[in-house]
Order: sequence, then structure tokens, then C-alpha cells
Amino acid sequence: MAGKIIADTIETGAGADISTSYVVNGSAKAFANFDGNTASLRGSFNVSSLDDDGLGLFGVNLTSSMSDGNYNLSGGTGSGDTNVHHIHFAATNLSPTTPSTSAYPVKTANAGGAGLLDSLYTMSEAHGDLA
Amino acid sequence: MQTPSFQGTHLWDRLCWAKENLEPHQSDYRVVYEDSIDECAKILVPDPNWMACALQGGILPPVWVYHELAKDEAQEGFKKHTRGYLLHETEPVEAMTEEEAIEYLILKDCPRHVWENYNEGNRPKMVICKKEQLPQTREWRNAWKISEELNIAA
Repeated sequence: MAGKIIADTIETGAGADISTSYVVNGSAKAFANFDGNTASLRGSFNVSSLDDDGLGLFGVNLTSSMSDGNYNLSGGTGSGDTNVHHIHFAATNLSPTTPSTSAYPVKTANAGGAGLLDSLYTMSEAHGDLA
Repeated sequence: MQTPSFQGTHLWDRLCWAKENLEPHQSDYRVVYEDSIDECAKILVPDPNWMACALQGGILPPVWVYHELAKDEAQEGFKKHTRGYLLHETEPVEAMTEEEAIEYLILKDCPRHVWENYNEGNRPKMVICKKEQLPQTREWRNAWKISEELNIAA
């Protein structure tokens, strides 16, 4: 690869040194932005495929696996309608789900309690250690 | 564009290279499968960046690597991967056609019990089709099943 830079530390403008491992370890290892209404990916990284598992239920499959199942997931939704949507990381409407090292579940639901629904903007990202 | 020699390079770093250098490829193929008789049909949608890697070649590990890691993860008492090096050290697969890439993706991302005997029983549990063969709206999404028409078309 051209243009390789090897550095153990980075110096801030204020003169403070930080280890490059902070940057690497703190980077998101995967993200997926998709339209739940069409199950189509708009943008992504480290994703091999999207599972459309039913109304408001999806799965994001990873290319470079995580080291263990204790990684951190975060995300958000933009509904495109008058409903307020929630995003959860669970494979069913009832039970919490531990993500595997190679995939994580995404569930979008109506915050008003009217059940699962698809969100126009469904966004998630994973932080943690890679295998 | 020539893929750099990536054997021994962390897979995540290879994906960074691909993101920077390859155009995403939107595939029209979809894999429709029935994971459980009690659930609606599921649809596997290939990721455009991943598909670009598959078509380019020299980036993705062989699919057996994922099966080995899945075996490790299925062990009782699994804490974390200790054979992650398989992803990075194994010689990457060569360029695939789009159809070969879909087959690879089925083996990687569909449940094993689906693809191992997808064509046994009264009707297939898995079908490869084109996006336009699927319903155009998601009405009654939770009632979708593999139809006779979809099966014939595939």
C-alpha cells in the first residue's frame, strides 16, 4: 500500500501526546445506514450483507468479525413519518439478543407502543475489538 | 486497478483500502430463504462495498475461514476468538463473478441448516432471485413466503 505512515504517538496542537492505539481502538469497526422500507443499504463499512427478517427486523452481517460478543452497538432512526421510532439491538419483539461476533440484530419499533415498523433511516455502528 | 498483495494484512485494513479505491456495486440479486416454518421469509441483501471486494478479488478470505470461526464460537464456554488470524493470514480468494459471490454470501451469511438441504422437502427453503421479482411494497411483510412463481423464476 502506498503512503504508509507508522507512528506510535500523535501530538495535538496543544503539545499533548496521545497513542495512536487510542485512535485505532476508538474507531467504529463497522457501520450500516439503510432504508428499512426497501431494505437497501445507503452506506456501510465492514458489512457483507443485510438480512431483512420481517417488519422492523433486520440483521447486519460483518466481513471482519469482532473478537467477542461484548462489543458496543449504537444507532438511531429517522422515520420519515409522524411516528417516533426506536432502535433496539434485538432479533425479536420480545427477547434481548446477544450479538454474535459476525452479525448483529437491529429492530425498529414505534416509540408509542404500536409495535414494529420499518424506518426510512436506520443507522447503526459497532465499537469494540476485532478478531 | 491491481489489488495489493494482501495475505497477512488485517482484513479490516483491506476493507479500508477497498472503501477508498473501489466503486460500490449494487447487486440486483436477492436470496430469499425460510429459516423457520413459523416465520416469514427472510431476504439477504448483498452489501455494495462487499460485492465490490468480491468482484475485485484478492481481498476476502475463503468462506471456510468463517465456518471455522463459527465452529469456535459455537463451543460451550466460548469467550473470544483465538483464531482470528485465519481471516488475515489465509490467502484471499480470487475475483468472483457476481453469481459466485452470491453463492459465497449464502455460505457465509445464511444459516447452515438452510443451505445444507435447501431443496429437500416439498418445496425449496431458499431461492436466488432478482430484486424486481420481490413484492414492490412491504405490505403484509410478515406473511411473505417463497411462492411457486418465485421458485420457477429462479
